[in-house]
Amino acid sequence: MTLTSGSNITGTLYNKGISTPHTATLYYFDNGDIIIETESTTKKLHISALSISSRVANTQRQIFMPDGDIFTTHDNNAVDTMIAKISPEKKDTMQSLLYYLESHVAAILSLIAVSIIAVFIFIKFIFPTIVTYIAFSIPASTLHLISEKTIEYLDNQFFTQTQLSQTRIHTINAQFKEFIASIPEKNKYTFTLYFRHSNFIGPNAFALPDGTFIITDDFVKLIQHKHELFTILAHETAHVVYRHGVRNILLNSGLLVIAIAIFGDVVSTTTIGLPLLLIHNGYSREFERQADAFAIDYCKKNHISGKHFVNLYKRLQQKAPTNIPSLLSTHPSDEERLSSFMAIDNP
Amino acid sequence: MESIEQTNTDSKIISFHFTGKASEYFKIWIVNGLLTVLTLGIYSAWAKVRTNRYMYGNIYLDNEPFAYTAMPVNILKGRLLALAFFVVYSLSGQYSQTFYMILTLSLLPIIPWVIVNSIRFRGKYTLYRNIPFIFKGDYLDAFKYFILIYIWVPLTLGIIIPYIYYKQKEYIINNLHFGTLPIKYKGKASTFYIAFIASGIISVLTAGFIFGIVSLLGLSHWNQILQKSVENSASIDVSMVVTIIGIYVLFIIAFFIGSAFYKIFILNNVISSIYCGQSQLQCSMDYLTYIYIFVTNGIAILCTVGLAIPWARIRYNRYLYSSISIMLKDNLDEITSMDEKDIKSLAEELGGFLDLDIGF
Repeated sequence: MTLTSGSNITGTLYNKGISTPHTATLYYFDNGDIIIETESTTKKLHISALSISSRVANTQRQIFMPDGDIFTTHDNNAVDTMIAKISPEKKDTMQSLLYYLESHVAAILSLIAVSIIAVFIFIKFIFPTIVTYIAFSIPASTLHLISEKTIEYLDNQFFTQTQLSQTRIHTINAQFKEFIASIPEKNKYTFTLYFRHSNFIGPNAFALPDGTFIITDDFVKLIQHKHELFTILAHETAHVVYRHGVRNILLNSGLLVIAIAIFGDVVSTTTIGLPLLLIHNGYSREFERQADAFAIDYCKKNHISGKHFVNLYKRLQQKAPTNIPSLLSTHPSDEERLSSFMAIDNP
Repeated sequence: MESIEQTNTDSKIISFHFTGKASEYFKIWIVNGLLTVLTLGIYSAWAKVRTNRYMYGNIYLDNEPFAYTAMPVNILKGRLLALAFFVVYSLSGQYSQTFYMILTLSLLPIIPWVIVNSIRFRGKYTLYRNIPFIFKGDYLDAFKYFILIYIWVPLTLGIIIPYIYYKQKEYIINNLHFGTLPIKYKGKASTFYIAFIASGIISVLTAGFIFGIVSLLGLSHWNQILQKSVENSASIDVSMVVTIIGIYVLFIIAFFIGSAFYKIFILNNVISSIYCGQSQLQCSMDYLTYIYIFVTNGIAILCTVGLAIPWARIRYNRYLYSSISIMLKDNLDEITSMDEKDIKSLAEELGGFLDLDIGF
């Protein structure tokens, strides 16, 4: 047997179950033989019988022997050299990769980059795809239940009975029926229109997941042309048929659950809040763009001028001006939306 | 390196110390966080083991480090099992109230079982000089001190609560063994009552003190705001909001100062009442130093959006362990480990999940 160069490690030997430390030297040989020598004892083993703890920074390593004895050492580099030289198959690739990551700044920076890309892909593509799949597998009865509960809540909190005249309601209802008859999705949902009054909510029109539309008195008062109503209804119909409502709920709650599950240990819930709000508003803006595209498509097919949307929108802006910066807003910016509707008339 | 003082003929005082470095731990911490995200949480078991191995491996007593030798896979299994239980538990509430009630009631006998096994788990995999810590706590006792005893809370209007904490500490520590050396807790229940009452008084005094200073400094300004708000009804809301936030912050500060006192007082007293064999532990943390470390750590963490967490943990550990010492009367070289029947693997895995922070 020949000693290879640098082939010994100094450390401490503990016999099984006893705390008495023995200063010891571990010698290793090319064929995998190991000799551990103390002042009074000599142990002879083979490397394949040893279980070597993985490296964590520069903390002490333990080498466990089958008879229960332990050899401990702080000479981590020497242990790594031994494994590489005489027992490469013992090299636990995952564990040594972890140590490599934990000790190289460049590796950490690349890991950060990979994580950012992975999180981006997840948020942008994977998660919305899963949510869309789930949203479209929700049965109509559940959509109806969600909508019923929502109306119940809104009626309790914000709404009172409509104060519009019977003739006005009748006209709008007739126009609503005309609109529904003109869309291809008319048989897939039961589209109904509710009139409500609310000082708090102001001029607004929106749709619930089962095809129930709610329109406020203030909003009806802004409408001067049938086609103005149609553009808005087309926009809201898109939210129904693309199931934006339920997707929104799922995206919102799902993301919060995932974020708390993963980051809960690391940072507080308040720190998670702001990024989530930004991500969520990003999803909302995308839905609004999709709904606008649907409405524009509808206008083109039915020869409705884009100026109807623009007119109504401008009147709405005078009533309830908003100037939230785009990153924090749930809707795309005004110029973006209006110019895309203007483009209908001059293609 | 160590402060060794000769006292009696055969005893010496040795201080613990912690050699972790923020720069090393920061890298471990951030790799843990990133890999946990990338593996959707699965890596958290490995993260826990590597963190514990780093922390334990840097706690030194008499030039020898502690070691943590648990396997991540066991912890992962425990976590998955616990996750499955809680998913079933929360879903059952939606479908069957009876099943939900049965599960809730089943938690009562499960909780002490998990507590016993998590202490056993942690002890078994904590080595010092090749000797593990053994926990021999009885399940029925755990049931008594962690479940049954709470019946007395409403009957005594809560007066028994400090006594409950005392009994729980006593139960845990008295059933621990370092090898064949029994670990004994010789503390008194009165310590916990003093801690409760004193921290309450300190909280109230702090609140009163801050409130006094604020009202002295801000009285004239406050009057102006109030006057304005009477003139203009809209700004009443603003002054109301400011007042509510102010009171809220005041409570948090007062509570923090009080609970910091509680924590230090209990740590110092409990640790100083622990005997490992013949050797007594001693803990002498300073209240003001602790507050200083805690506040500056908090500010650093806030200013760096959390990136200072590793640094703060290392800094706190350094202070904590430098405050603990042991008056050694046993020969550390002659401790033998106790044979213990193997922990059932399910219990071990669940124990790994909870891994309650019950140490000393």
